[in-house]
Amino acid sequence: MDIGYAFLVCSMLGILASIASSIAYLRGNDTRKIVKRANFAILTFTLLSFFTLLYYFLVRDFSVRYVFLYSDTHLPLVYTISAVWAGREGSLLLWLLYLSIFIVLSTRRLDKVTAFANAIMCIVAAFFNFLLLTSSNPFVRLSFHPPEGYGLNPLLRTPEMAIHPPAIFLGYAGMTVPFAFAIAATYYREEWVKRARNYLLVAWAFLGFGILLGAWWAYKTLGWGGYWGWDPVENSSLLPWLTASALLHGVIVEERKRGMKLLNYALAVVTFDLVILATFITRSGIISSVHAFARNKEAYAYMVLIALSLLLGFVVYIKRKDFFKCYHSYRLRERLIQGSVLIFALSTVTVLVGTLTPLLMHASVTRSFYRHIEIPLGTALVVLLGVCVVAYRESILRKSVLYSLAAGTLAGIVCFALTKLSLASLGVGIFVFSLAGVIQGYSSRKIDLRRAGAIAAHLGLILLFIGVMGSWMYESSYTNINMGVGQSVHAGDYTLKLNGFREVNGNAKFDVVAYVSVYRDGKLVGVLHPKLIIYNLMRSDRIVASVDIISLPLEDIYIAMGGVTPQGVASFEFYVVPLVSFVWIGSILIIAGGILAALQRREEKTRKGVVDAEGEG
Amino acid sequence: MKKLSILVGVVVIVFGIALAMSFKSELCPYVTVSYVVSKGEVRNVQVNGTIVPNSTKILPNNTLMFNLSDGRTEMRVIYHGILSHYQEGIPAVVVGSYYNGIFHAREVLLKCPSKYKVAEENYSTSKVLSKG
Repeated sequence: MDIGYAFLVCSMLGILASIASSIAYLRGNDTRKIVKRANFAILTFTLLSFFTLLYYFLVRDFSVRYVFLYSDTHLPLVYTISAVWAGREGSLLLWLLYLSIFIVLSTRRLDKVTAFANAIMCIVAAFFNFLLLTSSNPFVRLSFHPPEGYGLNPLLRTPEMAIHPPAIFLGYAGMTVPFAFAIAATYYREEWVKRARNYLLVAWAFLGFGILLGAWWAYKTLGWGGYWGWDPVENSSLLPWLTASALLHGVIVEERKRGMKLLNYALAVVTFDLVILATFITRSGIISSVHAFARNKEAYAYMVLIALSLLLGFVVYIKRKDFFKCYHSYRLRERLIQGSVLIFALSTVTVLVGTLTPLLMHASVTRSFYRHIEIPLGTALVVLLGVCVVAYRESILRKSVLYSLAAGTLAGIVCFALTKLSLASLGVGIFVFSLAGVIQGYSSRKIDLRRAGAIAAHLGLILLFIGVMGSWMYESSYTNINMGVGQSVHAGDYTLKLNGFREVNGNAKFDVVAYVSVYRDGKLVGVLHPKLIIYNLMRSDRIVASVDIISLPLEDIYIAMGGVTPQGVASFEFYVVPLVSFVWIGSILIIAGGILAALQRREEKTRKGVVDAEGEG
Repeated sequence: MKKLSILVGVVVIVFGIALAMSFKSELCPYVTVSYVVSKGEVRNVQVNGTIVPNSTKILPNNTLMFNLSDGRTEMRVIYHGILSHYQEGIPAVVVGSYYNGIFHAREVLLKCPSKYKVAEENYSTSKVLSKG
């Protein structure tokens, strides 16, 4: 037995011990110490197993099948480390590692609720451990010792792709905590939000960070001038992010008014299920047809876990139905927050329908399907935000909304006068309307970390809105550009000129770099260096086109090289992408908002909560 | 309270109708070459097959013509644009419409992964289709 595999077996024993001792504790025995030790053992052995796999990568032990498949002798150190999570097996190991960290962290103070939650989290850990021990074992050895590895997919050799999976999987694993605590606390008729809120925030922020890295990677690697293709893998990570966003808003109502308990409970369960679905889709990579799905043995295991968690959620709900009753009358602000939850929910349904279509019928939907629905929903969300942030005191609501409306209308008119673009002007108007709302809504209130987080995230959403609008609706693409050395071509307001090529010989690869000057109104804007990179690999996908981008404040100039003929004529795709930097800044602000809010200390929060409640009452 | 429920109901119904309409118009079924050719005219479909060796014609203005085969039937495909990793004999998915005896491809997805994720999907679909 491989030592890494042995560590996994020990981790599994720890998981079983932790489940057994949690149950013993719930039955009245004082087994708290055993639970903690067992949890510590899970973490230690999973970590050891992870390090063993990492070690095999570092010493390039290609007799380990997984190491053979994802690395080779030329691979730089950083990408050799990131290759650990380049495939399914390593990703699942990372999932388990994160989950065991979360288990140790969230069960430091053990009471009944925590013990029950611990048992639930350990069952999830047992599930992943079981997959690692059976169908996704990373420690399988080949019967011979290959001198060279197959190599990491060249497209994954970027810093973004090195840290994208660890960020995403941290988010996924983290969503197990709110799920477990929602079920356990509800079972004992206690509040779960306070116990799990920070885990939810951290998981949400990291999930968002992972999605952003994926989008940024797609933008600068895939060469189609876009960052979001609505493909099943992207969608699957967006789904739990959407429901978690809904949950983050729902818990505000629950904390303030003790309301929306059932919906939040359901959202916690659904978010977890979407995380499991996403793990499956991301690492099996296959959702294109029913057949592919059925062929994958693990698919059934994932379906069973999803079904079991839904069943558990449902049973606890039936048993504690009385606990969910709410007797509060909501004010306008709570109603508006519920509106945002509704928009997130409808968004989720849209993405889910599109993502699952290939599974359910022999067809898929185009990108326009998503855009037709998500653009209006996103717009509605931004408008709602502009009203919601000033609705904390109903006396100032009417005046504030009027001010925002005036500002938005003015901005829209100015924009129309300048650009003559009606939809863009409407977008700018909505942008300014919500921005004015956020400024008015927060300027007169005391700022703590939690509120600072909300400001950042909401400003981020508004910037993301205008960025997405600009880049989706007003992108210009010129996909048919062919130039020989010295020739120039007009593309919209720009003129491109191919100055020449350079060949760069590296150890593991060979680059063909094109030098393309970009002019606007006769003035040089910059020189772009799109590349073709040819890797020394035995893989069939060893040629990669590398994009080059000049980022101006209001637009990106983006070029990708398709290929070069022996006569020296190169083909290019050229894009002008307006406002795309707003997408990145907006997304970073949203993520930063989650982190800021999670930094708020618990004691202060409780005190603050009381003050707020008094202020409103 | 009652007013609010009605409002939410209206929103959900409008959403449902919009979703259904968008779904219907943007649905793009997977079909085989034989099906397309036997139908004579098909709009907005994805066809899986292999690019037939020695069938490629490169026309001016970045236009490419080739034959796509599913092992039983072949059809002519026309595409405007660059395909950076075009090769004969590899599996491809073409997205577009078939009329007048030619498939007008809006998109050509090649197995050779210039676009990583798309390629992965292709690979699986082609495998599945060749099996069943």
